[in-house]
Amino acid sequence: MKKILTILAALGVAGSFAFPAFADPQTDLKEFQGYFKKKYPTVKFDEFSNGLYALPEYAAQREQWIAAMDFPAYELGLTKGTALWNKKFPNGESFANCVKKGAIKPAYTYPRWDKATKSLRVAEMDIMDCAKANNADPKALTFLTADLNKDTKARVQLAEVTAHFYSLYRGKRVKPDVDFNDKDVLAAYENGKKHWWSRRGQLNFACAHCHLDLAGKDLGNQPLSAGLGHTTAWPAQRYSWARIETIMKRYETCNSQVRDKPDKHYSPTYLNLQLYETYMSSGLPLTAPAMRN
Amino acid sequence: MALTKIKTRPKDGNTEILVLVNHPMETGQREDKKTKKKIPAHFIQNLSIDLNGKTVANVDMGVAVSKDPLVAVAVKGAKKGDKVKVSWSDNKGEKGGADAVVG
Repeated sequence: MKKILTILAALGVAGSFAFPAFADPQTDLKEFQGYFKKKYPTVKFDEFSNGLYALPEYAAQREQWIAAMDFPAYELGLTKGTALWNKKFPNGESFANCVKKGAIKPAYTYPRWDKATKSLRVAEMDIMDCAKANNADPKALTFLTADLNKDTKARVQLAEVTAHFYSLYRGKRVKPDVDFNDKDVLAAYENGKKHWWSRRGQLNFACAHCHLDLAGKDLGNQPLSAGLGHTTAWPAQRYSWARIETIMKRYETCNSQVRDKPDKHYSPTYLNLQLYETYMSSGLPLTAPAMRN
Repeated sequence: MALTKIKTRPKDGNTEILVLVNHPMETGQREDKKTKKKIPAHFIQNLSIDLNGKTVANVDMGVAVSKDPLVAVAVKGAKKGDKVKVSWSDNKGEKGGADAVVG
């Protein structure tokens, strides 16, 4: 308790943000990435894709992580995802055909803005729509009908399929397919940015508190990752979860850890947040699926 | 059947065989939070690794081993193309295994 109070006190004094409140996304991006480049001059830019293992403070964790990469535990889930991806739908179509026809876009372009529906789309949504459009069997792909917020099995299945999809684009550089000249896109971006920077929950933490100023430090006994490169590894497997999960689930747990009411899967709030975080990681190579603390 | 994956690689002049099994490794001590009942034990008891039909490792495992266990053994004198066969059995009588070739 004393430790938490000390941290809170420190935040009150040192928690000043250097970022301007209103700036265009391009300036935001430069400042955001510049902050980490300045904070970690020895870390190569591409290394930030490896999350907290890129930071010099976590050299010990990195060693364990490299050892785990000999035979990463996510390979079990990934094998299941690959099998589902390759299995044809009853009408003869497959996920791979959806990619060919453009119903599923390349992984590095997500989240993308859909002009027709004026909404943000993430890879999981397009994967689900592809299966639905081809009348896939909802018994085989349980995530099509299940409540993803509650049904762990169905959600993990979706994460596994998405993990295979992302594995096809490993090393490709993140470039969200959004046009900030569009007013609606900019509004979504600003909304996500607001979520990242505003305090929430009983603990009164913003995402920025832990993943900017305090990145590289421990909170309780948990290491804090840098905000740069947050999205590149997802869907990922955490040691403590022992299964591949969606990034939405990660946002959910992050929010509930600061005693905030978590939002639902693919709610506009989380989609906007994912857009902001992904855009801030523009130019980094994709590493999903990966092992995470 | 639970998924079993095998990898081989050279290490310090020997060959290392790594086996990853998708298994809950339930201890029987945990309680279901909702029903307040003990979750029945379910764990791998024996895992054996054969190289060209000859057993090179026979592992007796128990509840102390983690979920989705990874077992790695170093074997002397294995050559490229040698056949690896892994089989395991758990306390519920379930069996599993996989085959691979030393690469």
